[in-house]
Amino acid sequence: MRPECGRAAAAYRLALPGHPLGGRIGERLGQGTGSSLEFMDFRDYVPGDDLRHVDWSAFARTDQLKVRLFREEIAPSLDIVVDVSPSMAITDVKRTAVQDVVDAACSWTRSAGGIPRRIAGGGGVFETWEEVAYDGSDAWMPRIPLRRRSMRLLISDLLQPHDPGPLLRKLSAGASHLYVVQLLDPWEADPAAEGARTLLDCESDGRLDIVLDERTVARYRRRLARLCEAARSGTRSVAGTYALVRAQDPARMFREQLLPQGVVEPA
Amino acid sequence: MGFSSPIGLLAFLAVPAVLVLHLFRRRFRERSVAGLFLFAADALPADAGRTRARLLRTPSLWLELLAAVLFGLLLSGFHVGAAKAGVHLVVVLDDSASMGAADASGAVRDDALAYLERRLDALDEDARVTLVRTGRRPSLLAGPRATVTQARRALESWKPIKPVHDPASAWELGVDLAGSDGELLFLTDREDFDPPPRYRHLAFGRAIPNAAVVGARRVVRGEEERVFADLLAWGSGEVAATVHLEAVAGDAVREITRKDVVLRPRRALHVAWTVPAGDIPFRVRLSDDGLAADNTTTLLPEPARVVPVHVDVDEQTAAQLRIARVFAALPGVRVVDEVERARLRVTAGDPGIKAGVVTLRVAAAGGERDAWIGPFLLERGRMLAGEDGRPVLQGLTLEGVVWSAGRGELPGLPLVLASEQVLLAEESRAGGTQLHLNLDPARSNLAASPDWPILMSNIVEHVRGRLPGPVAVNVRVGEEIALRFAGTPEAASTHALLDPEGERHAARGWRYLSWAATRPGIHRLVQGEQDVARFAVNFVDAVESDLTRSTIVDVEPVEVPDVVAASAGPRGRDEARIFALLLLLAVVFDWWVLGRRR
Repeated sequence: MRPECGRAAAAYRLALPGHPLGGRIGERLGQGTGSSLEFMDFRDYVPGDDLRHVDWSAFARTDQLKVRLFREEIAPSLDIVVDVSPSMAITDVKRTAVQDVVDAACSWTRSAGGIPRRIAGGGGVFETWEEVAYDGSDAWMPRIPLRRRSMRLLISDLLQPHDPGPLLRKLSAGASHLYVVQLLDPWEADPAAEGARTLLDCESDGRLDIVLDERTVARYRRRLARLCEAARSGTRSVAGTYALVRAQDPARMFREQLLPQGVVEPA
Repeated sequence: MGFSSPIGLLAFLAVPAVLVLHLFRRRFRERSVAGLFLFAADALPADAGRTRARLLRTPSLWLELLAAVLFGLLLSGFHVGAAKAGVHLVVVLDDSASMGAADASGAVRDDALAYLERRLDALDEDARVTLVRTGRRPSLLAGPRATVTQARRALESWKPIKPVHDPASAWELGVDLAGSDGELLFLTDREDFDPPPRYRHLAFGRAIPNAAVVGARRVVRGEEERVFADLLAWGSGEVAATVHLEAVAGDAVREITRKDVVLRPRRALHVAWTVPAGDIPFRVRLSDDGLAADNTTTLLPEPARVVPVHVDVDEQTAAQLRIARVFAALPGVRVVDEVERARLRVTAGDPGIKAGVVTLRVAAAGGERDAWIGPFLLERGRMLAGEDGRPVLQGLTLEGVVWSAGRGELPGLPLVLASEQVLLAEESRAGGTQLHLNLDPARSNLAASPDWPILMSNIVEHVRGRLPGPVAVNVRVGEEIALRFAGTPEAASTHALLDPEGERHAARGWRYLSWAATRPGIHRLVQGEQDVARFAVNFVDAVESDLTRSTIVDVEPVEVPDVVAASAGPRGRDEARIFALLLLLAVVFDWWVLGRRR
């Protein structure tokens, strides 16, 4: 992780949802029973149960051995699915921002005692950025199974003409929570009126001759807004957290974009 | 299957044109983007432009290529089925000068053209016409298989001016071009031709009295110049004419003198004038008569062609060979001291062969001598083969000549032999010549014989003929305009000949530049825009000037071809309609495709 990213990430932590989560033993309340102080339920005593959890008061009243069940404490795991299609590295700013968000998410997960996994969209787990060539397809679903009841974070620009809803639903299946960070290059988020240009699709051989004037840019912005709204709706339909992020330096990106949109919270 | 209008095949150039247009599509500065689909609705409509780009196989490209192919097929008159060929009229035009004869009732050429115009009028629009001009090498005036319109346009430029020639090769070419069903026509002015039986032989000539200049020359004699002209007339009686001698300076003509003459039929009359020597072109002109082409002869002054000679023999030998007397007697010879300037060298040593130089080496071969008495064996091989023979041997007899020669061998081709002993040999290499004269002057009387000045004159003229410059400045129509050139091939290629009508003919060759003299008048040889030489081309041909054999005949062809086309319907029209419809569809569909992209 870049030092400036590390310094910026230290001030935040991943904003966890209110509902119970799954994960290994840790500080967060899980969905199952465990050994936290939070009472959850009773059940009949069976040999082998911890006698410290026997509700002696109830035994005195009912002459039945009941065992107190407490909420388990877990450390949430995070599967980070990274769109590694060429569009994510279309500029250095965008590529760096992707790495910053992913590295920061890993950092936040580790700080919470969880285990992060970085997974290439359409591929498998990767450990270092040197393994990522940004030549993947736009099939986001990893080839490896995602961890059950893990939190999942999708980082993509979602610049595809089809509805992202079905994919997001698939990605959120079996997850305890889904974060979707739609990360755009500054020019993609706010193109300039540059005049006549030939636009080349970075992922296909498509090309268009176009005059980028104010009117064309305004229409592009409207179409992009509709695309982002579709991604936001798709995320909301699976009770996930959506954030539209413009690539920039990590401190401003976390403070001005991820924090207001509920992806992170102050540490 | 075929093309009724092959020139329309040029329309297929539209195919590469379409490819080029798509290759050089309009191209702006490029920007790589991730969400290209978000801009698609604002894309510019056309993908054409100037910068070469990758060829995109778009529907528009295929439609435009299809349209180009259909366009080519449509214009070239593509049709299926050979049986529906149209009328093919092959006309062989007598291109000899006598076709230009005229009298009060009109010109022979005009009568022939009027007939041909009527014949062309009778053809339908699908007919094809081939016009062949006679000549030593027949040529096409229109076609093969030109349209009627093209044939009419070509006929406007037809000016028959050739000297007498055999039209047989043109007849054969016409038969070949006509194929099995073409109609053949031979238009001339004479009856005494015997074309192949498929030809219809039409003559429009008239026996018109005519007088002509059949020869002219100018000879410099000191400060004066003599102009000679040979006049000849044809007809049933005496022909009264006036012959003019005129000075020509550019477009200005001034009459110097005139002479009224009475020409008896077929009796040559020689006329001569004495004028001051100068560089002015003279023109001998007869008064107007039946054939204008042979009434005028222009004579340019022959350029001085002095042969520089260097003599490198001792005084005794020079005296024995009478070198000084011989060269003093020969015209156009200058003895020079600098050997580098010489084109002819007379020497006793062996200087070797140098390009552009003829060396006469006078030395007995070897130490021992034999005396021979002429006549000797002269190299006449070419003369026996019908050629002129060795120029240096022309006129030599060598009878009674005592020739003392060495017994040694001489290099090169033997020209004069006594038994097996070579007396004179020629060695040519790399543009130079060395003549080896195996002679001991002290023991020979060759230099005292009449053959000696002839031999030396032959050698001088041989050298003169190889000097750079015009080979002849006064030539006849049908002969060759030629220039010996001493520069580089690159410099030679910058020469061109401007004919009297201003048409430019590029030079061919290197050391010997030549052009066919086809039009009478003054021709200018230019290098770039600078004049190098002038040539006068004159029509002089006594056979063509004789118009008494001209007559009017109409000989029907013996073999009439089975011209299917005469009754055949318009060919290729169904195909044309289909191509036109498909072309329209392709264009409309392309327009629709491009519209969708907008």
